[in-house]
Amino acid sequence: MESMKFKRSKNDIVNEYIEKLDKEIAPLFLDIRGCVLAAGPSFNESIKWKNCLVYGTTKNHIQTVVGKGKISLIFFEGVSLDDKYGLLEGDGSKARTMRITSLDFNKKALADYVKQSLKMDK
Amino acid sequence: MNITFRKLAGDPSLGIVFFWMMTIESGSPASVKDQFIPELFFDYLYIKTGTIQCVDKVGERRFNLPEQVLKMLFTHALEFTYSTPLMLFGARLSLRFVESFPAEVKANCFLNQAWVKEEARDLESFKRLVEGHLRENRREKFSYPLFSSGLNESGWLVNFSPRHKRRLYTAAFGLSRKELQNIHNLHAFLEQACDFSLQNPRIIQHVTPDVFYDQPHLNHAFKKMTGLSPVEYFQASSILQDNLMSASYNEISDV
Repeated sequence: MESMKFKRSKNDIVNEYIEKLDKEIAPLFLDIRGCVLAAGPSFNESIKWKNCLVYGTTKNHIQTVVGKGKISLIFFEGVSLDDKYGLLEGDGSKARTMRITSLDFNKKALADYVKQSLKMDK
Repeated sequence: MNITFRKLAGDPSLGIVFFWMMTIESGSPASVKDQFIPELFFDYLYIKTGTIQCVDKVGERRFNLPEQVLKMLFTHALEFTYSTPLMLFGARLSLRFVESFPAEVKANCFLNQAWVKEEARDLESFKRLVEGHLRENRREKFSYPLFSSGLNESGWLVNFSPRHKRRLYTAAFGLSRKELQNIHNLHAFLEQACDFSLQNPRIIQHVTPDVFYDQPHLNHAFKKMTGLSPVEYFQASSILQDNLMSASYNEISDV
């Protein structure tokens, strides 16, 4: 079986998780991951409860949830983000979700949300 | 802060689920806090570089972990504070492991141990040293395993009195079967609550009537064991345990 090519994580469990992703969703997942890590190079990746890739520093910032034909990015401090692009959904007291369904998603918006999340790390 | 996590397969015949190594590096020395909730695994820790301070709020204790230590089963949460740079090796051990562990087993404590008797340069050499030690020092305490699969009692215990079984479980694991089951229930909830594949995460949808009657019951049981509500827990970071838990879930589901 042909193995998937991707930038290896420093975390073995993340690599195992990516290798097991469904082939249909993997390209979108890797594109989003590339965009998040380019905007937030200081993020560490980990897998929480076997299903969610989490980007964090000393605290969790973004959780990636893979669904059928879509990927949701949950920004744990989403309510504090300046949503210039109007892509964040949710009405909870803290978190906001960005849903991505295709490879032509708004990368500029995602990079902006990621950078804002990192700024709140202090 | 740069965190790496590596994993190597363990030896199920010795009760080793997997070996792991975590490093945390930062530009300047720093402290990193980490949560550790109860789990049905024992963890052998070998701190090669750095220190780990453990805060046990329930036991009202605060202490630095020794260089090599076996973390027993806990019924309440712990807080670890790592000093960086940190290089930590570990072996995740199943309940089966402790049935051949020669020392007395107690819960809610750490046991000073020295399984690594020469320098472990990397994860491979740590694995070799730990496996060698366990092979030489194991002693089966029971004729057969206490559990057949998961927490299902083995058939050979069927004619034992409840009192006898209670004593067997406490001698083997340091906890009663009910306490083991409570920890199992917590993780059964966490595992299914994070299966987001078909719908949005809504904790109320994951309350299992067989285990938790309703959300207040879940919240109460969850907080008692972890010190956090489910929502707080999902948002909190737990660098080491997140990795250990997800690796454990995957190892078990791969079997």
